[in-house]
Amino acid sequence: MKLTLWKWLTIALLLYTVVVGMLSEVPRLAILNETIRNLYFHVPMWFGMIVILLVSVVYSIKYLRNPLTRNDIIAHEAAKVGILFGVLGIVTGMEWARFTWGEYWSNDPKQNASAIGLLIYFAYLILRGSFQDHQQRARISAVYNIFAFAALIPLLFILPRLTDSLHPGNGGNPGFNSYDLDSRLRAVFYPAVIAWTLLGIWMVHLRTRLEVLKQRFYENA
Amino acid sequence: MKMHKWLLMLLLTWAAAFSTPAAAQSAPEQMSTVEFSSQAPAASQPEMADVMRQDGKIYIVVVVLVSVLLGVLFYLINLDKKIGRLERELRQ
Repeated sequence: MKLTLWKWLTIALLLYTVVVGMLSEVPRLAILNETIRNLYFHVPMWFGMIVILLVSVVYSIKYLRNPLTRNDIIAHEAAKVGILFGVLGIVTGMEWARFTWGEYWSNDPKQNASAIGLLIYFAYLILRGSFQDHQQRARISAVYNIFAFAALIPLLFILPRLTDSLHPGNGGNPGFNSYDLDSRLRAVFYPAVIAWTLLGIWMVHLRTRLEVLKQRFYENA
Repeated sequence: MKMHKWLLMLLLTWAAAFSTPAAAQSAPEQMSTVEFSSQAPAASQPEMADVMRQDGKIYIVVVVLVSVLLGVLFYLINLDKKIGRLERELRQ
């Protein structure tokens, strides 16, 4: 199969994540038990979402500076894949929370904030759908996308830290310190973050190419 | 057609994923018959391919997860190729 190097890297890292993530030694912790392995699957969804939404906002800014249809397409497709990762992050988080915190939804500040963040991004898709004119849609949703990303960062990374949260690394503590993450977890966690993020970028890549093809097809037809 | 190759590949992945749990299910019966028929020490027990059944059968979960992941990745690679073919066609 002819694939570019980074796609092979994605496949290799994903397989590494699943195989080593399931079989390697992990710290023996109360309550968490083996669910600590969710660190390799739940947390990378959020890391991936942030990176992909960053791609989206970068292309929105690029569109405002240089209104090429391609920039708008990438911004839109990246936002959609980012939302997919966010929804998967919320769902996996709820499943994990049910068996460690006791409830699917315990109104944890970070849970609530991420739900608000996702709603802001759902509104982006609705906003896009409400324009007839292509240029108007691209321009106004690009501006909205910048505001959405600017709202998401404090919602996820600042506000939950100002109060007590069930999430580790919140309530005044830094995110990842030596107590939270030991070297055995890091050996899988960092490759897992790269793997899932690359998978998301692969999806954005495919959807963008498909959308560009579609537009060119309608131009010619 | 190329589709056939992919179907074959999927079928093989499916077969690989399902043959191991089947072997794992039949294993306890055999083990118990050995225990009841003869009080042989552990050293002289018949050798079995126990690798996939160790550690609470976690390897079965790994096999299933890898199968699902490979399936999704094959799908993605296939889609990638199809889009690439369309791009080449449109360029001509």
